[in-house]
Amino acid sequence: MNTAVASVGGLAGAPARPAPIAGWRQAALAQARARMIIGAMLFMALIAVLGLRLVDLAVLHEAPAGPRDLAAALIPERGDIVDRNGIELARSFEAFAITFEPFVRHKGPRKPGSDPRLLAQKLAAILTDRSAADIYADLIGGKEFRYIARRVLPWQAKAINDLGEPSIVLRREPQRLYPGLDLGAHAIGYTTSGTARAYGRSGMEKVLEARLSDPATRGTPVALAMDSRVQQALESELYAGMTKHRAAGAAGIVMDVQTGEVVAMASLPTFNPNAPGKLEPGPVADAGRPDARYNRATMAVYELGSTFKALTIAMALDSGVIKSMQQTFDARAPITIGGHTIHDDRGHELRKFATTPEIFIHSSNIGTARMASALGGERQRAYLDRLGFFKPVAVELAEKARPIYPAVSNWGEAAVMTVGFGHGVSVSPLHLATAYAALANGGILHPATMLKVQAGQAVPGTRVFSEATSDKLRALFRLVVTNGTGRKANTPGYRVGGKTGTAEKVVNGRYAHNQLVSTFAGAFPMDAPRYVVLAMLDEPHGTADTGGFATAGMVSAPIVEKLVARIGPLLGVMPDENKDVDIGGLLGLIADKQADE
Amino acid sequence: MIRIRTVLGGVATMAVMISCYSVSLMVSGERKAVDDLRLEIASNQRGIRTLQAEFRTRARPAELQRWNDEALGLQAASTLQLVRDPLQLAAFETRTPAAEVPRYAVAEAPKPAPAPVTTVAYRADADAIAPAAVAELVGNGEAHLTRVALR
Repeated sequence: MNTAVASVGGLAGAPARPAPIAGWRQAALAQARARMIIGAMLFMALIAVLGLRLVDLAVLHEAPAGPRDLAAALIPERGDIVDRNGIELARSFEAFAITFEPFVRHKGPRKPGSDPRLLAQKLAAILTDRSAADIYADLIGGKEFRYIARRVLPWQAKAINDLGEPSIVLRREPQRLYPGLDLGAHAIGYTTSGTARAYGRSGMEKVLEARLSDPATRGTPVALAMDSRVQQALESELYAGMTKHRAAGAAGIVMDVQTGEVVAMASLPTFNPNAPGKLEPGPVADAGRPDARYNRATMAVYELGSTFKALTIAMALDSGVIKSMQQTFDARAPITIGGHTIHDDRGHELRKFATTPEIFIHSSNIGTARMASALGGERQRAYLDRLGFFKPVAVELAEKARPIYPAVSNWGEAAVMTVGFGHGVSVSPLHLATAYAALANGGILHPATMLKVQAGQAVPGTRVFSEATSDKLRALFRLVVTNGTGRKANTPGYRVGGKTGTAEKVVNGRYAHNQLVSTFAGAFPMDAPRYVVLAMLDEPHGTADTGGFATAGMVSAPIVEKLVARIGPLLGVMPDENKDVDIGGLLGLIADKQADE
Repeated sequence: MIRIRTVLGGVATMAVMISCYSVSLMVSGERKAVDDLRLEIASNQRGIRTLQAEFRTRARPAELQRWNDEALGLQAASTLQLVRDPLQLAAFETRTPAAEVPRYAVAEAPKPAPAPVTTVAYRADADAIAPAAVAELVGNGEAHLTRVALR
């Protein structure tokens, strides 16, 4: 059709481009151009959007902090340690450290911007525990990196920063804070700080190193068995006793008899784990003494004297050597054996055939030696082995000593007798507390633990004595406190029972008559025992009110009396003067109803 | 015509783009605010930990004991200060009984049993005083009646 029209037009004049075709082409071109412009605009818009978005992301937005990052930021560098009630005992924080770095920030050696002597004086004015001379020595020492001070207070850090000295650098480094200062220091332990993190060096800090530093577990605090209130009471009463009797040291333990949890453990003199290298000033700070970091409750082994007699009587009862409490043992005269003479302490001589209660409350060495002899060395060793007295005490702490005891070849009759009343075997106070818990709780030995035992958690235990033996020992323990050498431990209403033990220290292989270790170990309330308490003074001295005596009944028992009055209510033990252990039957077996302390 | 449509289309596209971008900006702004809030929470929690550490250090047991020893003087309760049961509490009663005072007792007499109801047949009483007779007595001054109610 279009072709025909063009042919007709061609006949009329010169050949020309058909108008309709030209219009279409122009229209098509215009349309294509428009579409191209739209396409180009869209592309430009797209590029602009992308560009804007890039600017938005790069300039306006910070890197988003995800919830996981924030949660991770709140997890401490090292896990917290808390007591059994959730009170913090150790926690991490970022402290300021002041370093001198003349080489690091500036290429090549460079002296401080200001006069070193002047700078040292300015720093010493802020860091009051360092002298200007010390700091000056550090500044001119020529080392590339030097700590001027660590764990400085925020205001000190700000003041030093304001000095504007380029070679003095403020660093943040992880540090450990012990809010209770020296409270429970031996049990909690301490750390040393590296540039990246703190490392446990002693106590539970060392034991729990992996648990406290693992990112997967360090967010959850570790609960110790310790009750900080009981710990404070124990340390306070021990310190008072140690100061009064000018003792070289002291140790104390409060332990749950059913679980073996160490509710409190103290060793004096103590130290501040925030500055473990610095010794605490105190009445007993003395050259030649062990470092304050020395844990007397687990690292020291002592012959704990007459407190061992309870174990000998328990062994004799349990094995049938003592068939009834009326049974008597010959305590008429000292025993001479192996060149040694076993005699009773002056004022405690029985000079007769004595019943078990008499031997126990008068703390007769002769009577107990006779019992031990009847028991025999083999059974004695077997019981001591089951009580764990031949190996370091069963507790998580690494600071523990190996007990000292005679070799089997030397465990003859003389050794049997002397071990029976607490000589010849040296164990730690925690060994004794663990054994006393077994005597009081019905005869089951639970290993000591510094960690909190959760309700319903199984507690490992081994039966060492029968229930009947434990019942009889409980009555005997109570008898010692009501009528025996431990009367000064008798806290009204709390039915305390226990045994005193005074031993001479072995110095250079010989017994030193004027260097005693005075121990009271017991439990309360004796009608249904819940806690073992032990107080030991190392080298106490008598005072006017003790008549010059430094025996356990005079110096350690009063500590327990005051301690139980303080911790009883905290531990949920109600005092009751209408309740008590039935000791009527035992009293009938005692001729002299009151033993000297 | 095409140009107008093109321009309108471009304007519409730009408007949509700008509105979408502004929505995106608002969302990112809100997100940033949430992030800031989270950071602030984290910072506050760190601050709480620091303050708790300071509090624990200042209120450490040794310090509390020092305060108690020097100022408060509180002691653990002794056996006599603790009451186990109500009987023990009653035993602490120290008031003496007052002087003898008259005491009154109230006695209640038992109520008499109600008389049994008997049913009798009506019988006219010859001695009963008729109203007419009463009026006569009044008129004679022998009796004074203030009111006579007849039911």
